[in-house]
Amino acid sequence: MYHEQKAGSGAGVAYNCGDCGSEVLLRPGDVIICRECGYRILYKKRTKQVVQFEAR
Amino acid sequence: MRVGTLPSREINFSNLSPPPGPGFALWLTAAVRAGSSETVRAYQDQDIFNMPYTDHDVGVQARRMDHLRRTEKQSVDDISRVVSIKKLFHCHVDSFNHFVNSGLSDIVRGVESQHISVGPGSRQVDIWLEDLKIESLRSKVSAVATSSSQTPRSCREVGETYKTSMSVSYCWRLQGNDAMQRRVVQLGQCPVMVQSNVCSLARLCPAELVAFGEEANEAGGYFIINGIERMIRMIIMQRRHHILGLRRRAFLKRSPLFTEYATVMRCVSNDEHSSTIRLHYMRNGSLKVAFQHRREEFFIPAGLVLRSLVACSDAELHERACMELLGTSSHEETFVKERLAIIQEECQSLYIFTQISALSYLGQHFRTLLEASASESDAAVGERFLRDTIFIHLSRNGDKLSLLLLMMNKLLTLVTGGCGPDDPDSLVNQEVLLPGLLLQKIVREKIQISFQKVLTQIRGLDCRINEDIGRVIDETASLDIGKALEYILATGNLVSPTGLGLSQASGFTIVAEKLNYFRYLSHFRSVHRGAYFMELRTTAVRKLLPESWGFLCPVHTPDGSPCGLLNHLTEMCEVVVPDKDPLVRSERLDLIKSKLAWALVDAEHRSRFHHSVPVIVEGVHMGYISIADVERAVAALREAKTGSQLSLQMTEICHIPVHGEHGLFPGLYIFYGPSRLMRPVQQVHTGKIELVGTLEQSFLSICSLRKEMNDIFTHSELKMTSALSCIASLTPWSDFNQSPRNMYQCQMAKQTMGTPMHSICFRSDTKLYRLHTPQRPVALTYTYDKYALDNYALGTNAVVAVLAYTGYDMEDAMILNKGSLTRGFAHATLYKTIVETASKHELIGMNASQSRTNEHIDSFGTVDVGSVASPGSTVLRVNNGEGLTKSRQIRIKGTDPAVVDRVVLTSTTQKGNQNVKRAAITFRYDRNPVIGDKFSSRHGQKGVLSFLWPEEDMPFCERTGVRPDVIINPHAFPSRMTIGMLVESLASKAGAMAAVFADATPFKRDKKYSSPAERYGSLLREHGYNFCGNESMINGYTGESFSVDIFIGIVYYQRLRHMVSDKFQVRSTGPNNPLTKQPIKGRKSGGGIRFGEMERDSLLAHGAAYLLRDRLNMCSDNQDTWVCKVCGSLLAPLTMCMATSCGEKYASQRTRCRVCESNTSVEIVSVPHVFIYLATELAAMNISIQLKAR
Repeated sequence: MYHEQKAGSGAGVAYNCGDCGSEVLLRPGDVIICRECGYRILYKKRTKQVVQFEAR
Repeated sequence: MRVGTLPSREINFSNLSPPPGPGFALWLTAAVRAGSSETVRAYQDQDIFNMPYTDHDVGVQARRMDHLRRTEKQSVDDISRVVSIKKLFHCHVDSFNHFVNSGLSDIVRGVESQHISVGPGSRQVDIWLEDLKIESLRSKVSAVATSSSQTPRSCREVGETYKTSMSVSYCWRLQGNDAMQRRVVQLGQCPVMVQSNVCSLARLCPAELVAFGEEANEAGGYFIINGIERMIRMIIMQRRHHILGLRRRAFLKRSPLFTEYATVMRCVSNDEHSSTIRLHYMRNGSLKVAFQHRREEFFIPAGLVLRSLVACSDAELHERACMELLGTSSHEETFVKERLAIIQEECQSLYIFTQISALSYLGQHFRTLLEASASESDAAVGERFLRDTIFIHLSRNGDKLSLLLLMMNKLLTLVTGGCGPDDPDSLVNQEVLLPGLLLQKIVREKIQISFQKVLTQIRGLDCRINEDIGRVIDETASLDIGKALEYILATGNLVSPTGLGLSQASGFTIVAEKLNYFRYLSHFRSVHRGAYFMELRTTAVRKLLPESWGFLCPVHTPDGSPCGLLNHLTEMCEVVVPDKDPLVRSERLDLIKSKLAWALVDAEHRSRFHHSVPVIVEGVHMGYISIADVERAVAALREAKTGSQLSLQMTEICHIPVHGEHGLFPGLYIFYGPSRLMRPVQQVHTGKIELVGTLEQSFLSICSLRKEMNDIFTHSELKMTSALSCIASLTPWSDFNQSPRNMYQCQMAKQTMGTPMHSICFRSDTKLYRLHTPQRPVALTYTYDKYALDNYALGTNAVVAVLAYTGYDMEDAMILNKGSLTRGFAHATLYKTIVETASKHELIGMNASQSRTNEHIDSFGTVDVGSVASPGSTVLRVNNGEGLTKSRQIRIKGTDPAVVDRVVLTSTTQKGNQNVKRAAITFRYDRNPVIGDKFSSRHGQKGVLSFLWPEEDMPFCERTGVRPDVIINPHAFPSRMTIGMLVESLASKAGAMAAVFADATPFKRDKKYSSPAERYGSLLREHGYNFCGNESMINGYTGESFSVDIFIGIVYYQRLRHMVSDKFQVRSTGPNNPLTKQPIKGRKSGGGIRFGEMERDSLLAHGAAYLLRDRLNMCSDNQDTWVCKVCGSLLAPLTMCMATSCGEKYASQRTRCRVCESNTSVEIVSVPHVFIYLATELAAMNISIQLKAR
């Protein structure tokens, strides 16, 4: 099963740029900016963890 | 292919797609889902990329045509013209465009070049303004990559203001130095209206707009202020350049000299500066001119103004006045001559006999008011006074004179009863304040103040060289107009020293809510009467007057306090926006003059024997026209108006005949200025479409029913529904309903959950509702397809049985089929976004050493997208300082679990506040129907879901086996008389069987059938159903047939946003007020519901004493306390602090009354805590409360 990298591993969390769509890895304290195009709106990627919903 | 240059985004945003809705196919619905990729694809399917771009929305058009093919042929014939929904927003966008294109340069033109002398050598300096402009955001986007520049979408997501820089040039020339100097001064950042010419989205095709993260048919018309969409609303103003005769008792209060009569005219200059001139009739027979300057009112004798306007002898002036005032009206010659004599005597008593002396007198008295310099002579100041205050729309004194005489004429006619007073509350005498023109007024005032400031500085500092002047300008002229504009847009409050001639100082802007598209749309069509009238006790202003027919919708106004004050424009009504080209103005004036020249005479030459009427062209008194010629002149003008002369298209030609029954002052009034309301009607004889104005309409004969047409009528209505607004005309068969029901529907349509927008994934609005399965109604009106409202559908076609089945459908409750619910009926989602801004010293994120309280929070401190956030769990962490020691946790509020839909991190792009980080987390709440949710049909029939009935127990049709989705009670109909709903039910049923969409446009009749019921009844019969829509049904429980046939059909149901999940309030114990110890109020804070006086009364009446005690005492602030039996005091008994705890028995002995010094007199009683509090408060006032305790 896939596991997301946990805190402290240093790789950062993956975000998508709102303009060019490229992946941005952010660590705490990083400037919120796309490294490819300089766009300042980043969207967090959906988690790869299993999400269980109650289907009633 | 235009869109080829833009990055393709479908793939990148795959993880932002909307939540999975129920996966069943929608039956003939606009399958437009919110979401970038799907919207783009939807347009690609229609080959939109290869279609030529027109002004109209191509995508919508294509979709519309597709539906039209399936709609009944009859309604297709009607819709010959493709209309973009943008048409409904045009007055907002166009007026802002005018502000940018010509309004700004008009402002600079209005600021006069100043000639000042400075220093001891009195060196002359000419100083003036040039080039007031705001920078276009369009060029920026195309030139540079989108990343660094602002787009509306980025402003919404980052929470910034969509604005652009504004600047003006100060130019000056020193005497003896030919070189002109220029200094560009920055005026801050001016907010930009979305979709205006300077907006980066202007003239983009739908596909490009979608690529920019906008709606495909983004109509604009609003501003983005700190990420919130706000709009300037239209406010009713007095009609410009039209003399109103008033009879107001309030005038009497000014002083004993005043009478109740006055005439008033609102004059507007080219740069939209307005000033109102009033002419009062005094008790002694004289006339006074009143004007306002900086919110102060001034009165001048009319004779003085007359005298100062013309250079001639008193006798000649008298002659001239006599000619103007006599003749047109029937009041006696002696009366007029007496008044003239009084007016002139007043002037002579001040020793004013010439124009110069009159001007000097005015100059002398208004010197300080006009801030005149010492070098200016009195007469020059007087001239300036006339120019800046009296009839500012006219430049020539001759014009002012004849206009003032006309105002006098109307006033004297009014006083003598020759004409009646005008109604200022009637739309005839009104216009609307357009957003762009309001901005123009504000900017004009700010610029003028700043210019004056610079002049005083230059004068005061003795600037003699260019460098000095340049420095002064740099220091004093820089003024943040952008900030002032942003302030008014953000708050709606106007800060202005003059008040800009507006009747209110706040409430100019509102949030353009996007609850659903209909609500959004109606914001832009709304016209408010003004904040002043909200508090007014009298209801006269709220009345629906016949004059507003065709301009304001009689149906679409809210109930309650804004009723009648907040109106909506009819669908076809247009607001005249200022001309794009200033040349049009002069061209049009020439044209009008040429059409009138043959008949026009001046006061001297008009015949004494024939009546003649004055001709007023946009506030200019042109002369007189004999009543024998006036009809011909009007016909010629009207022909030119509908002809090829486009400049005349928006002209209002109004002939008020002499001796009409209406009692209005006669005249030929021609208006071509902006802000008026106009609507199209058809000329009977030529068949041409003509736009008519409000005053014009009152004097035309417009036929509304074609079959009643006869020779009297000159015009006819284009449609039967021309009196309805866009929202009101969407009600099917509204002509069958009782009228209040249609009003309720207009309100309910605006609170329905539907499709607010297609770009939900790019928005971080605080609250958004979305219906998962919106459908196209089977019964729909002309307007629905005209504006392609399928793109924003907001309801579901439901099979409705009108049946008293169980007790659960009493009192407007409805029973829903549980099977329908599980199949996805009216399923919806609520999106809530919380926004957290991290200040300069804060970081969004988490220290490695910190424990993870929530497993769904990652190392960056934000919650995982897609995870379920339980109530109260942490969703974001913000750390403070470099050491990352302190941290804030942002938790999710409420009681429902939510799914994390989006996490957006942004950092500010605008200058000044660099490095501000912001996190917006959007949550998705399930809002599927539960018991207690509100639903409504389109006929003002709202109801509450009372039971989810098992499908197997629902009644079913004997012949087809159809089980209804909804059961409503037959009692919903008799008193409410919503026959339209019955017709809709019948027609939709027939339409569903015959696979056609029924045309439900009100007032539309078929020649073949006498009524829609007959038409669709026979269609039903063709398909083997009962003509009346009844069917025999079988009881789901017993399996027996009902003894009567049941009316069952299809009705379009809307789901309203009021939902139990957002409203329920329960409490057993919880927080109490620290002072009174009673439960606090408010659902948010876990408070209770007030059990008030009336509730108390009802329990008393029932004798339910125990219950009363439970509610009011035990569940509230009951307290056991000591009371002294002897002195009766609650406060005197005091419990001693004893270290020993000997048990309950001794406790009472340790409590003593401090007044009686007795241990035995104290007793425990149960009282409300507030009572003790009251006793304490009264004790503080030296009042003691004694309880008679035994």
